[in-house]
Amino acid sequence: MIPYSISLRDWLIEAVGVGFGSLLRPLLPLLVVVGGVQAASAGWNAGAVVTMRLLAMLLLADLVSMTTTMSALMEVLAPVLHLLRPLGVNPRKMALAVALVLRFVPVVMTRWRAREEAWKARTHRRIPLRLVAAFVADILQLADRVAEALDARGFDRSAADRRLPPL
Amino acid sequence: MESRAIVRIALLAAVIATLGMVPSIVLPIAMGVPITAQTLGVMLAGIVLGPRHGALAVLLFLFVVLLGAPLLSGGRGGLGVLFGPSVGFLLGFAPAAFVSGLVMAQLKTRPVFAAALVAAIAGGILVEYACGILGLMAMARMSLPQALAAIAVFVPGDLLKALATAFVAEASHRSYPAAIVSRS
Repeated sequence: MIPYSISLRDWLIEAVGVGFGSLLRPLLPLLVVVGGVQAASAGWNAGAVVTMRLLAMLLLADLVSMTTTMSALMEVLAPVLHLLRPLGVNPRKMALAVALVLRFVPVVMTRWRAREEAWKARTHRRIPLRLVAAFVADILQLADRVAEALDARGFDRSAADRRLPPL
Repeated sequence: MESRAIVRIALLAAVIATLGMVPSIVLPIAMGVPITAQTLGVMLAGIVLGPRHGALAVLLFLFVVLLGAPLLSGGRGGLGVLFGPSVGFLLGFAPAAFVSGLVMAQLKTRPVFAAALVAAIAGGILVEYACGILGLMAMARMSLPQALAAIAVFVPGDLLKALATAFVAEASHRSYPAAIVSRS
């Protein structure tokens, strides 16, 4: 369904050029605080129980995410998405939407960096909110052009037909 | 659903994701719930796309995060986020975007800036905080006053984010009138 056979973490590092350290590192202060608060208010025993329970759940869930590729997860979810069909969920469109998000993240970042660089090359002043607003308008236009391109290629037949002039 | 709606939903989901990569500040005082630019994207999604599509953009973003993309602020992602104390803030994104969109559509006749500001505060602060507090009470076993005290530090930052959202909505509406669905 989705042409990605790499795990999402690898995709992010490839596509966006962002590397991440240990998965748990950002959560460590949190675990310490949660455990500390519990230990202070309900004793060391309760603190240890809460900390270890959180740790176990986080590690288990991360194990699934790290060992499973995105396409494998989508395959597992396909039957579930099909079950949701009566609710108006179209599995094909859902797959398109997921693929689009993964494609848009690096596009949005690259485009923003280009604007940021252009601004910084011209002035030392802080980046104004004005620049962000112009950027939002710009990427919304980009999205609308992508939609037109999809329709032109017959992705959504019904929408494309509506635009044809009457005979 | 039209292709245009799908692509816009995917774009706003990607914007929320990108905002998560803006460095966030983790405050230990608030149980490690990070201050992030991500809620800015959530408010914007509701305001730009309207209640239903805005909430769908958030759900799509959460779906991709749960599939394992490390797109949450601080580079977190995967099923593990469902068990953290900030899960309430995370799941609260969807109703927050919905309410933002609802308020924005209700205030159709008002100036964009004012309407977007009210919408951002209603969705991004009131609804988002209510969900976040419930999450803190359930996951970190905090009492209501404890949770209220813990998140009070976020209020000034979120008010600034609401102002920024309103400004961005107004300026992007001016340069691309089709930007805000409820106004085009």
